Amino acid sequence: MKLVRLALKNRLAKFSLTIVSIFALLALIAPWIVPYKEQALGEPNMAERLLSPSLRHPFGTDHMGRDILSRMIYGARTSLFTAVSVVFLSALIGVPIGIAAGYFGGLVDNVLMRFTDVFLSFPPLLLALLIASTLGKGLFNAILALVITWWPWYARLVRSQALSTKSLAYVEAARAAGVSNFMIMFRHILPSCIAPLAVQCTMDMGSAILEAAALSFLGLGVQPPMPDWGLMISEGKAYFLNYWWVPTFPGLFMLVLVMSFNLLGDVFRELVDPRLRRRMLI
Amino acid sequence: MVEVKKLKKYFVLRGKGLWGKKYFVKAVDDVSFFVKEGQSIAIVGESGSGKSTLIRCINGLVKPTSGQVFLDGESVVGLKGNEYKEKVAKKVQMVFQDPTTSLNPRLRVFDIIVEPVLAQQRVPKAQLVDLVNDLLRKVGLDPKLSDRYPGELSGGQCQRVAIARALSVRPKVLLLDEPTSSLDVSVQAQVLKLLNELRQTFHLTYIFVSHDLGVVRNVAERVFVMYLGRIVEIGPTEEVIDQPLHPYTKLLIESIFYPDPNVEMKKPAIVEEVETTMNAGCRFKSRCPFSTKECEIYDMKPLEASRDRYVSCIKWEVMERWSS
Repeated sequence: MKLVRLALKNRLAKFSLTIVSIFALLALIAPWIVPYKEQALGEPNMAERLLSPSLRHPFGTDHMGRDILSRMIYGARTSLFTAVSVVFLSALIGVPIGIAAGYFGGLVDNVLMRFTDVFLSFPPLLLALLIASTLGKGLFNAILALVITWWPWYARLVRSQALSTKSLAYVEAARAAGVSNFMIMFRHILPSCIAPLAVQCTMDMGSAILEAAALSFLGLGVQPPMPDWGLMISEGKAYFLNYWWVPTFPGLFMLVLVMSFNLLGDVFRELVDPRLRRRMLI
Repeated sequence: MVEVKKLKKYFVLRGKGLWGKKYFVKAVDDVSFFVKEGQSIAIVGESGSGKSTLIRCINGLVKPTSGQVFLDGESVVGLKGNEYKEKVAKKVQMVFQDPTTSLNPRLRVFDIIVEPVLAQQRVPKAQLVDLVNDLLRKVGLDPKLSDRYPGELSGGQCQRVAIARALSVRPKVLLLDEPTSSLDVSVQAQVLKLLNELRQTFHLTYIFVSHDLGVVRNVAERVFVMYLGRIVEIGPTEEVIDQPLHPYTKLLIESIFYPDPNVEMKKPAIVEEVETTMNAGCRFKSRCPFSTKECEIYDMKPLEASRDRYVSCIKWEVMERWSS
């Protein structure tokens, strides 16, 4: 939590944190603020197809006459939900495996890390295709595919951290005090992993949004008529030349959110690593 | 109380490459001794002599290659889980060299001190608070410090916290791994005084590791001199320091640095490099000015020099006559 305190003193961090918070807030209160709720959830309105941006429809309407702004605000829900679940589930699987591998070392380490390597070797898109074709298309299967290919990175990150922590004198002192392995991992090793984990999770939020959007774009993630940025871009690409606003605004939203997450992750990383701290005077 | 029998710890190293030749580092090689309850002994020797490995074998932080360790007559080598807690952690606690690294910087003093207690059993919070306050007072600290983090304390205060932590389960034996060598000289004396007082109040047995003979003279009744994994001399502290019998002990004592500009420093008599290969015979022979052919077959079996004094050198009598 020192990290959060430090981050709040940093201008860049405050800026990106504000943007992320705005998106989170929009996602939370979406049903109460969007002008066209039914359209956002997919109801077509053929009378108003492909209208250019105006006061009534600030970002225009799409090929089914739906208000793009409303759908974009709802899309923030999908994106953030996907990102949070992918990152959280990946950490949930990766962290215990990484800690156990790093702490016990030897055979345990070898077995766990080879197991991890197997998952690391799956190409994410191919796996998503496979899952979509066997389990069906949909948001949850897209999340599943992403988690399967992402948790190994968390296991590796945590393992290296656990390795360096376990050789510290206070871990030896805890062993000499008779503290059980489980408690050592929980009280001494895990807390030392929190800072690098926070950095990794923040950075990954952006990438998770992008990958989930990519899956939706390919038709493997969120299914129409549900609102999703990737899907909106995919549907709008056919109209791009004549009706530029259809895919552009969802794309811009995604750009801003992903960039904010990346900036925030960068700031976190520099705060965690004191050697980089001097560069933080922006 | 603490008995060590034929203890060996060899570390296996590999040479370069995938099929590099294996070789051993004999950190502790065939060491046996006995420490009576309430006694305070010191293990001295230069760095790399295996003294830290030896005491880590006693409380199981290092698993010996062979040999036995007995606490209260019970063999404790290789114990795990509850048996380890019951038979080792409850009786033997350790104070480490550098308190700034042996205390978790993320935990408060309170949590650091009660950790060994909670490893044993659940204890109500109120009882823990009393325990911590009492222990902090006993080690000469203000009980108010219990909600501080180690980073907010000085080195001396941290080492006192480490001592309080070690005492929290009322152990019988304290292993002290150079507990003062990372402290300022002025603080060293205070901590040593505290250790001496605590030994009286808690009837503790000390096994002390140090390379500082001044410190050893202060706290230990008996001293074991170690050289390359072997104990080369055992005896009462004063006797060993004032009349060393083994040539290595002599070297060690000559190398004590007295910071007095009026006294010209005596150069150590022996300056050759440490022998790195472990051939048969006396470990010390390559550095020893008295070594002869006999030393190459001597198995370093301890010889009784006088009552309560043992020395692993076949030349000690010759040297005695020579030096007097």
